[in-house]
Amino acid sequence: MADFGIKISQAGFDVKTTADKNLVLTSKLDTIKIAKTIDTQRTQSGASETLAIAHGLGYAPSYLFFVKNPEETTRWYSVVGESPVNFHRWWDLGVDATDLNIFLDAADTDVWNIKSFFFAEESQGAGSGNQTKGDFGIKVSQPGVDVKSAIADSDFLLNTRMETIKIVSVIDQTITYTAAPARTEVEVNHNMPFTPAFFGMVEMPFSAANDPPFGTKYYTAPFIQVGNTEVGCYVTSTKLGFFVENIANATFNFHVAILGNKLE
Amino acid sequence: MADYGMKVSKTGFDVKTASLDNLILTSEYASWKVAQEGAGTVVVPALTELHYTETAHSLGYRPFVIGFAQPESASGRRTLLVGRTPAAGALTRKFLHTDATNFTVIYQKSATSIAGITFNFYAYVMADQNTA
Repeated sequence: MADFGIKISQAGFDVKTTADKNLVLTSKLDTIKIAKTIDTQRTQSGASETLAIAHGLGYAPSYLFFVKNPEETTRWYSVVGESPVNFHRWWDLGVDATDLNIFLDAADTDVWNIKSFFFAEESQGAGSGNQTKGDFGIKVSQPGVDVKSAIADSDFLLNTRMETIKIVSVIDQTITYTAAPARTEVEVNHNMPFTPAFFGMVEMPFSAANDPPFGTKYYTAPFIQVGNTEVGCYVTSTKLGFFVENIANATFNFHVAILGNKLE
Repeated sequence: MADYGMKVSKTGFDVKTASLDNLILTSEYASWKVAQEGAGTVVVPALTELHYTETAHSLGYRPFVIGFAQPESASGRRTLLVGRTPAAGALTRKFLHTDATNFTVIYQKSATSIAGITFNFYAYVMADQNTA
């Protein structure tokens, strides 16, 4: 690392020598920054619909979003899913420079809740976000950019005008699934004072011989194909839940980060 | 929280007493840090269903990776790469898996897809490790 900048290590690690993964913060690396958070409550119109959430950022941001479906009103799921009784479905249709589109498929007049986090980092690479100029806080610009005059969101490695994604803990959970094809759920306490956002991976037990190039690999969760495989997570005000519904019995290993970013 | 470190609160909140969700940044917890980012493509050249692009990250451990990809060739939109989305229907499905050496973006052709098309993706590899 160059001999300048800000570094903060995790407790127990020497900030001068420790690896990047043990740092809380380093100005050597870009910190993912939340440029905008949008809470949406949507009363579905028609048998299904595409909901457009305007983000107003002027570039196609990267993002995470979470959904509370009309049937499971205490649970927040990630970007794709299906409810267990009425088979309400939702999934990500993608972002552009104007809006995020989400497919909603419950019943006419059913109420959905969506919470979206749009990042300063773009989903298509470098771009020209432009919303965070301000004369207070801590700002670290990208190399070659004047930190005092920079205005584009993507010009900053760190900018305290924008909230970071805070990793409070990572929860490892193994489900030895023996109920095929029925659903199995496991819940653990997340010990947060609010319903937190989350992000994680699940080791899917694919056969490399039968389903190349998969093998047993870690996939970004959820992993859902309706009718065959539904594997993922949800949160409530007190629990992180893991679910598996699969056509065959197998072992599923989850590693899910509880984030210090509030859903509700 | 221990009585040391750095905290930045959201506008309007007292940094000394603000709850975690009202903090922009706190040195009590790691923030997602980008170790590597970049664009790539997956080319669907022939009749087989699965095509993929493997990208080295060389971190030596499994990091968090967040990736976005075109839902269909030439689309102006990007969708989060989370297993098989959309969950049903005819659109091309996208996968992202990660290990200690690489991350891999996979496209599974739909029945109506044609050969010889290119899908673009962009991914952020975090320095932060995906395990407890």
